[in-house]
Amino acid sequence: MLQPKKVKHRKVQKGRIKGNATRGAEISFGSFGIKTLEPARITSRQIEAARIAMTRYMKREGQVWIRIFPDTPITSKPAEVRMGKGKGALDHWVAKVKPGRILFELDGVKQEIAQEALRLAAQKLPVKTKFVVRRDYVG
Amino acid sequence: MKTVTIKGSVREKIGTKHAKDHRRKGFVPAVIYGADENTHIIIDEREFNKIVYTPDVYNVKIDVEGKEYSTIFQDAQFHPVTDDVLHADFLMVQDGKPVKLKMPVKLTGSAIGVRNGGKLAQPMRRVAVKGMIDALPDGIEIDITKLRIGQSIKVGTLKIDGVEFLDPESSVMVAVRAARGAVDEDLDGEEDEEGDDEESSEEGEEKKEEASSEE
Repeated sequence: MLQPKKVKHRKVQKGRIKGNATRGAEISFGSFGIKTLEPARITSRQIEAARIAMTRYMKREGQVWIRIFPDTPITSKPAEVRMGKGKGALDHWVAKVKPGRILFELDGVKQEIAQEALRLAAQKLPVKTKFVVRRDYVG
Repeated sequence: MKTVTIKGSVREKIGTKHAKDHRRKGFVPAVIYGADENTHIIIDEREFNKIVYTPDVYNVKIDVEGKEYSTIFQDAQFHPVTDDVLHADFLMVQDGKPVKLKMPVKLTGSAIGVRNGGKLAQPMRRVAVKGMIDALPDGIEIDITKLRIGQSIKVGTLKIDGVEFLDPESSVMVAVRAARGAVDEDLDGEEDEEGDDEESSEEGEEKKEEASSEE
């Protein structure tokens, strides 16, 4: 699963996800992709599950680009522990995404295959998504 | 270069508020620059289907209330979620002045390397060129028929009259890369086959000798 090699701060505050994506909102590498329509925190497990679903359907053909990286640490307290006594321990990593962000890109397969692969990937994600095609794509 | 004509009208009030009003009515604010004065216009969003959702590059003739501007589609801004065109830039083409733009790369033929199981990679879908608008072709056509596994075509090898390539000469435009199960067939394949036979026959003799010595 994806996670940073090293971080400046081990724990960060929760924050809020506001506004739309201003970067990473265009297809840059492949011909097809999915873009999120909602703000969300996508965990490294969800990204990995989506990637596996996609590559399995494509039968190891084509190429996949993951356009998000889970660089935000999320902490949690153990079960049945009283409040207080400091912040919990690191639990998992998430990628914070804003509406419009391209999550995955694909190339090297036909549009129908890409669409189905990305539909299967989208089922593993906690957001509504939209299938997008490079503007100058010719089928 | 192909030509397309679109209709526009002058935008008298500029600014965010008025631009939003135009977008609500189905028009896209745009600007024509490159002349002495900029011209702010609005264009019906359906007109953009001709120039945005295509790999081709056009000389766009914009008819603004009877006055025709010869331009090239320079840039556009898109909404991050809906992908609607929010604003467009057109660069006016002036007589006797060359234009810079990104031409689409079109591949022709079927590469030998691909037939042998290699994988075709096209890192550059567009290439930056400079030239007079009349001299520019519809696209940069590259014949890849002779491309074998491991070979590539770089920007430096392209030569078209009246077209100057602005990308670095060492940039790879198209390449055939080795893939699993690829066979690299050489022209002198027959000689190799003969060589293999000799080796195999020698090995066979050695094995026979070993077997006899064991006995």
